[in-house]
Amino acid sequence: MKAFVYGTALQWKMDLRSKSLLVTCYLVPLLFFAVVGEIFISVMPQTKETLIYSMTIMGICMGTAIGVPPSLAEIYGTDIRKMYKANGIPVYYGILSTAISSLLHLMILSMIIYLAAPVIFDASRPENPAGYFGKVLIFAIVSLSTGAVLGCGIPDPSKIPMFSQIVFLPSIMLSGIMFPVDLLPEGLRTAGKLFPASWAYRWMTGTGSLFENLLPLCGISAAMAFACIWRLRTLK
Amino acid sequence: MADAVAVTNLSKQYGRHQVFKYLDFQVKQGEIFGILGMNGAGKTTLLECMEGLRDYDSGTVKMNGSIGIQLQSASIPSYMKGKEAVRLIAGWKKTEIQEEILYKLGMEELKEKGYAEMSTGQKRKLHLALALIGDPDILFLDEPAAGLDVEGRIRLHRQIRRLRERGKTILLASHDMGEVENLCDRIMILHKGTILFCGTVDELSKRMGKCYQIEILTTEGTQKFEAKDIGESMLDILEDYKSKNIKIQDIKISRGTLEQHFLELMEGGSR
Repeated sequence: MKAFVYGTALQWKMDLRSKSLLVTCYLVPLLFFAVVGEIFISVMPQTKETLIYSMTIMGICMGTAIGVPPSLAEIYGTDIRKMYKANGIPVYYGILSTAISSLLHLMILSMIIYLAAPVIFDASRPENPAGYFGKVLIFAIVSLSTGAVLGCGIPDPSKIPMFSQIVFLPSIMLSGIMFPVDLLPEGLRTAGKLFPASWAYRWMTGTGSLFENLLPLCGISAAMAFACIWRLRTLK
Repeated sequence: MADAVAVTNLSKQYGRHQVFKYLDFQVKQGEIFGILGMNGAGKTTLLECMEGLRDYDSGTVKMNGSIGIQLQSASIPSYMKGKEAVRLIAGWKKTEIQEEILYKLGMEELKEKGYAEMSTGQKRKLHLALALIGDPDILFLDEPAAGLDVEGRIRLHRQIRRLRERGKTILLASHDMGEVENLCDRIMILHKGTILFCGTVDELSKRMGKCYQIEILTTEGTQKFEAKDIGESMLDILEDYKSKNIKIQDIKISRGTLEQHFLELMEGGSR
């Protein structure tokens, strides 16, 4: 346990040293927040009500679909995994330490958006902050499980950016954070339901019951966790 | 001396390709055991099967002690520093960090250096240091000197000899015949999945039917001799020179290098 705690703290430090994770977990989401937030508020002033939710979901999607997979591929797609195994480090360590470290970064990003949005854009804060951050935490965990599958499940690391985009773009385009899902054709609306961002946005904006939204998120997370375990077991 | 490693009937196949079949050999405690073979002979696969990093199809591998592994191709995350890697591995191995070993390896300069900033030689040094954490009884070294400069190589060889003096058993796979000849007590030559030879370099020379090549430089020129028994032949030669009152300036004796024997054996094995 001591070794795991040290390893996770070390992963956190390494993530701070790695510019790519800082770019995908902070710089780009916050730039997007600043620019798109301004556009949203100017074009549709009513988006003040949902700006924190949409920007947070976008940031988490970017961090988990684009930021996390390369970090995991560095471990599971290279000789690092073999070196870890040779030195008695369990195979799950890479995923868990990266996921915990990224989760902390994503929660910090969410906090920045939560604090900055009302000041910069006069956006409305959620009525129940604890409940809101609980939803953010659950969504981040589900999204991290998707990122973990991308990072350790794609045998060729050079193809990860392509698969990351296949997850990231529909997540933000079909989930309702950019424009209402009601405007989408039926097929795309259904396709959007495959991505955790759709359920998280519904949940945060108060559409549907807790059970209706949490169940698909848990289902996606369980499927991803199963895929990860299978992949780790079959890695040669 | 007891066996540190005992391999019995070990076989491994990748699809239709038989990497090795029914390998049987033992490594004695406190010896440096070299594994030689052409590219693709299965040296690395054999080591990884013995280390438990790879499954094998049949046979047994028995280890009499704890093991440390330096892989041929290994890596750590680019942003990890030397000292962090040492602490991480020591933590998972549930052991204290032996500063003395790291100091002898020259790890001081790598403590604050990120892995991506290290040279190939420094990376090899770090991986050897990681393999030594926990003071293992048996050490697996796969091409340990690959990428090292002359100085690094000499330091490494010195370190390997020191480890043997401390009673460690070392299994070393290498392409460098000079390194193997210098360091190893016994060698094993793998070819097409079987053991072509297992024993000392001297035994290999004998098996190859090699005579000693004696080259004597005198004031009257150079003369070459061949002898099966070095002791008696040399005495005869020296007495002959003495009786003729010829002054000897230099004597060179060789029995062929390991490289020569290896190539000849390979040619024989390929036929």
